[in-house]
Amino acid sequence: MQTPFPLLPTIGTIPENQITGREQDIVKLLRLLRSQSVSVEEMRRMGKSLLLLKLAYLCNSNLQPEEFKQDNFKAKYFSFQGKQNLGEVINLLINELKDFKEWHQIDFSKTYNFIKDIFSVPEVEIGGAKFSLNLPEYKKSWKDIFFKTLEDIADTQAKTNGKLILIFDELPIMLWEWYKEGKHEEAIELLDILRERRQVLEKKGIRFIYCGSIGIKVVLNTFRKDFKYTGEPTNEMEEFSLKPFSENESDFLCECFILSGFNVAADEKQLCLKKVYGLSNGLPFYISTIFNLLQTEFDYNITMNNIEAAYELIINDTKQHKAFKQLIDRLEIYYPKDKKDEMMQILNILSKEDHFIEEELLYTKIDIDNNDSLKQSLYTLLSDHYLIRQVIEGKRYYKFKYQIFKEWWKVNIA
Amino acid sequence: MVESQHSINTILSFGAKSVKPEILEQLLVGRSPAANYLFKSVEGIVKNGNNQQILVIGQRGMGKTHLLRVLYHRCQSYIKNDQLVVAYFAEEEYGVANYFDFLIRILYALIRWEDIDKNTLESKLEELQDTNIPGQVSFAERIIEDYIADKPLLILAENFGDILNAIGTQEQGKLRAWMYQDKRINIIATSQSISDDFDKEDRPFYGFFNLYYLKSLTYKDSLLFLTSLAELDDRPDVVEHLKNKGKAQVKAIYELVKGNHRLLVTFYEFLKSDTLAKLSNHFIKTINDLKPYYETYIRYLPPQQQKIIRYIALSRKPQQGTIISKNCFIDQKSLSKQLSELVRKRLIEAITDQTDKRNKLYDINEPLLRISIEVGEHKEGITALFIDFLAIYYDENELTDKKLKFSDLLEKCESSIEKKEFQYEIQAIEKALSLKRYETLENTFISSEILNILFEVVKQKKYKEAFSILEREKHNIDKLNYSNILFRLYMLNEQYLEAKNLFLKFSDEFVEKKRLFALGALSFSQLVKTENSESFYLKGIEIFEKAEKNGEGSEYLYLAWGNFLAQFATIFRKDEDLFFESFSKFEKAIEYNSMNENIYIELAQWQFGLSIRQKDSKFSIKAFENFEAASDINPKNIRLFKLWGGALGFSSDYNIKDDSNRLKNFKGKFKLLSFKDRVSIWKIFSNVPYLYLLNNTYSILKIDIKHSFDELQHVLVDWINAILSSQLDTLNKADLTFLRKIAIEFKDKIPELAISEIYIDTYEDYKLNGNKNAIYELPKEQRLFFESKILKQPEL
Repeated sequence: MQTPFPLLPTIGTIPENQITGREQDIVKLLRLLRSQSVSVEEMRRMGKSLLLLKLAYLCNSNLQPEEFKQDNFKAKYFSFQGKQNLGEVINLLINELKDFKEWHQIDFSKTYNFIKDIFSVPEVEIGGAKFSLNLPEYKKSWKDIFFKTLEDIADTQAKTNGKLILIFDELPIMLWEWYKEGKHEEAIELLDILRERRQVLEKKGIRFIYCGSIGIKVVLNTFRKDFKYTGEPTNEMEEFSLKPFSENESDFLCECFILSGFNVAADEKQLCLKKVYGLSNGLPFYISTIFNLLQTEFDYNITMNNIEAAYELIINDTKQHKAFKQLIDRLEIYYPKDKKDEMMQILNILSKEDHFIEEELLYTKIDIDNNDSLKQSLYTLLSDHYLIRQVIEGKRYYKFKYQIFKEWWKVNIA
Repeated sequence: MVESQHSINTILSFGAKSVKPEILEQLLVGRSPAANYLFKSVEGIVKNGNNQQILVIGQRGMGKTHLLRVLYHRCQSYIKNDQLVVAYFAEEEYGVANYFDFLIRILYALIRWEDIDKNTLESKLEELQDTNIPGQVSFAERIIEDYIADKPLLILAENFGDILNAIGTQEQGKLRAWMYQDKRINIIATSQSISDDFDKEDRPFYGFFNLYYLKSLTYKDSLLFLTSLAELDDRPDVVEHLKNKGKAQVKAIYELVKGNHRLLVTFYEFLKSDTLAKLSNHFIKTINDLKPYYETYIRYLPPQQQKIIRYIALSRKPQQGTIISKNCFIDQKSLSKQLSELVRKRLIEAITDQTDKRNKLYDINEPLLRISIEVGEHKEGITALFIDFLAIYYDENELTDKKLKFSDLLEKCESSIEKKEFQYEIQAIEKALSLKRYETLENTFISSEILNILFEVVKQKKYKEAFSILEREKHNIDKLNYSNILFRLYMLNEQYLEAKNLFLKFSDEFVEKKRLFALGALSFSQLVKTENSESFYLKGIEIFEKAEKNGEGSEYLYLAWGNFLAQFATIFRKDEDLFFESFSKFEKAIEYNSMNENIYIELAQWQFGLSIRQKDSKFSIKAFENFEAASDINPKNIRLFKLWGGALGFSSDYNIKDDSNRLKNFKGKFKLLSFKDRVSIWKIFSNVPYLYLLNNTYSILKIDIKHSFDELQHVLVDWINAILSSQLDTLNKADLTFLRKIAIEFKDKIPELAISEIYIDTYEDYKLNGNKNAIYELPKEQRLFFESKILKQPEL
């Protein structure tokens, strides 16, 4: 049983030893990782990065759940955000894995010699700051260097009889950025390595976690459409979807926040925690936002009224809408206009429904002639985590995944 | 710390960053909660090992620099104890073009503020300069990481929105990645607004920061802030002034600067020197002080936006898009983009054009920005601006007062130079006065235009439309006037509850000024049927009294008051005194207008009610006199005859002393009514058991029935049934004989009267002869009717 500790509300970074909750998610993830690589997808601000940082922290500090002690999991977190080419990605991998030398004595000499042989660059220093791969004439061989680097890591890994988890956070968004800048060939090169060589690397004990707020599928679909890309780099990877906090996890996080200097009447506390959990739908971002508002707008006083007032601000005050705006932004950024309009229509209707609505009924309520197109849009909204689905007697029923998103959409968009 | 620290004079020239921390702490008026919140966050970073990323948002001059400076000072003990490393960025970090630059700024900030480690850091920086370019980023990261070691790093950065904008999305991504990988990096930053970089889904820092919005100072805070400045400035005279007369001036300043810290500091200078002599000199000085501040507002704007701002400012009134486009030589498409940018930057505001709702007018957002732009551009020099300013700063009385005082000084003055100066002041004040009068007229004109439209609509009783006009024009009418009109519309639309509730929100001062007590009282009097708690009545009475005291007496006020009191006395069985008080109010109403028959009718009603309560004919006599008086004024008032007839009916049942003249008078007037009016009154009478009335008016009714059988055939049946059903008194043989006679007379023409005749016989047998079996002579449906309606036995 963990003891709550003082934690100020934040929606940014959290030191890895202070990331609360997600224990069950980590158990599930590690079970999957025993045998395969995993892809984690969710919208932004859902806590993906923090989950993966915590996973890495537990594995590397030997704090993983008892059932995984024998597996000898180690993990390394990489954030690919802002990396502009394969060179920078490799640079990041090698620099960050320097710490791992102490555990595994990864021998980069093969890569070092490989680079030296190809480019005759005597001054290249692998693992140090002088590692240089950014000259344009080297570009054609990045693919090989990248694989070589991973192979070095895998070879060392194979000797340890353990598993090394390489967490590639924000991989899809990095590929998307490359695509937007016309560097799709490079993106496809990277995907090819991950497709062709992943199984080889996995045999040697490497596991990958691809993580991103846009699904890797969005990127792949675009590549298929625009460049006739046919690869399946995420085949045989298990998709892992992040759930909201359970009530216990939410309560624990609230308890931590309270310890950082909030006031709450002892006899009202449990009710208040329940209220926060209910209103936030267990989404840690909104739990933190409610507490942030309680400190800035309500002088650190937690009462039922203040919690409700904070929630009202979240729904009604445009200054608090940033985390909701993604619901629209995502449609605008990642989908063509006609598809976006169609999905907006669907969400407008569903936001006014309190229960699941059947697909056929939805078809009658919506100004979309093409039933197939409607089905496709519904499927996209489902896989992009806007909606959830129930199938009853062969009929599909949909509703918003999170009540708080539905409320916001209803009040502000529909 | 290497920057030198200065006294209050520095803050008076906006240099918060180099002012002594104690002074800044003292001037934290209205910002203490923000400073405490930020410091609490730092405590969390140090003591609990938490991370914090906070973005403080506030417009220019709202005290962001001040706040970060205070925070930096408060962090000193943690810095000295090696618990925290702070990289305190310069206010304007120019030239940060990418992530690497950002890292370099961290190093520079450490070098600037950390005396002890300055040399070590500088030598590291040299090493970095010698590193080859591709390796520089990771090397810079490493220098910082090595330097902070296991301590948390806190970056304090201003204009963070601008920094992010300059480094671009991809480089922001690198910064974010670094923050996730190196676990103890904290940012507390400020920004003037929320840009796309914080607000769009595909940006790395989307939804990443806890936001803290700085609010403008309230008037009270502004006064406190200026008082603190005066105290720090060692000016007890100004402190004293601010406790008394200065309050009103601060209010005027507050209106101009909208609680902006920096502008308040500027106006402190003006306030300080606002003695009688030469306002214009101080004004010019103040404006000159302000100019550089406002210049920074526009200096970095794109040329098209500068052009637009300048044009609108010099136009001195809101301008249409098409006019701006023409005068600035900017095509419409680009113009609308630039205008929306300027609105977003809050430099101009968009107002709906009242003459054509589809159009928008654009005006400079802050009056002082316009004034500052005009300086140097205006062909009349500063005089026109000074006049404008006077008109904003002082009210009409103050200006008149100042003019008189300057005139005095002019008379006593001997120096010709000073004379000229005083003359200038006087002329300026005179012009300001006429400007002010014109503005007042113009405002009245706008309001009266709207009122005219409203009046027209109200005249046609289109209240719904009136409500929507009022709502639409809300911003053109001042708040109190709006409430006043809304209240009146509620009354007109008979929304008395809404009217009453709105009325109760008004201050007595407002109600008194607008003479709304009487209407408020009226709203109470109209609600007697739905709201009848004792406290409701007591409140109502209080308002009637206030209305009288406020000189709002009228026939309507006293009429409503009389009714209200009588109603109160009746419901709560109050003693007669309250009735007497009520009657005296009616008398008062009659004093106002002796030709309003309704006052007599209302009074007669309550007098008759009291006589029934007392079983005394004294007040019934007065009541009938008043009914007669009302009929003298308006012999065609149907309501009067209904009530008068009713009273006659009751008077026999309650054994109130008969007076044959009463009937005579009633019948005499009743006959004079039109046939149509009488029909409607017969229908009312037929539903109540007025045997006495039937008996005495039958001769008239008979003629009317013969005149129009169709309209009145049911009246007799209903009336007889009503009389038989009455439980007030058992009918005697003579009564029944009379009723039977009527039934027989008309039963050929009105078959239902044959049944009425059977009921009359049964009644006589059952009630007068005591034959309870009489009812069994009736067919079943008649028996059931007789039992339930006439005998009033509950149905089985």
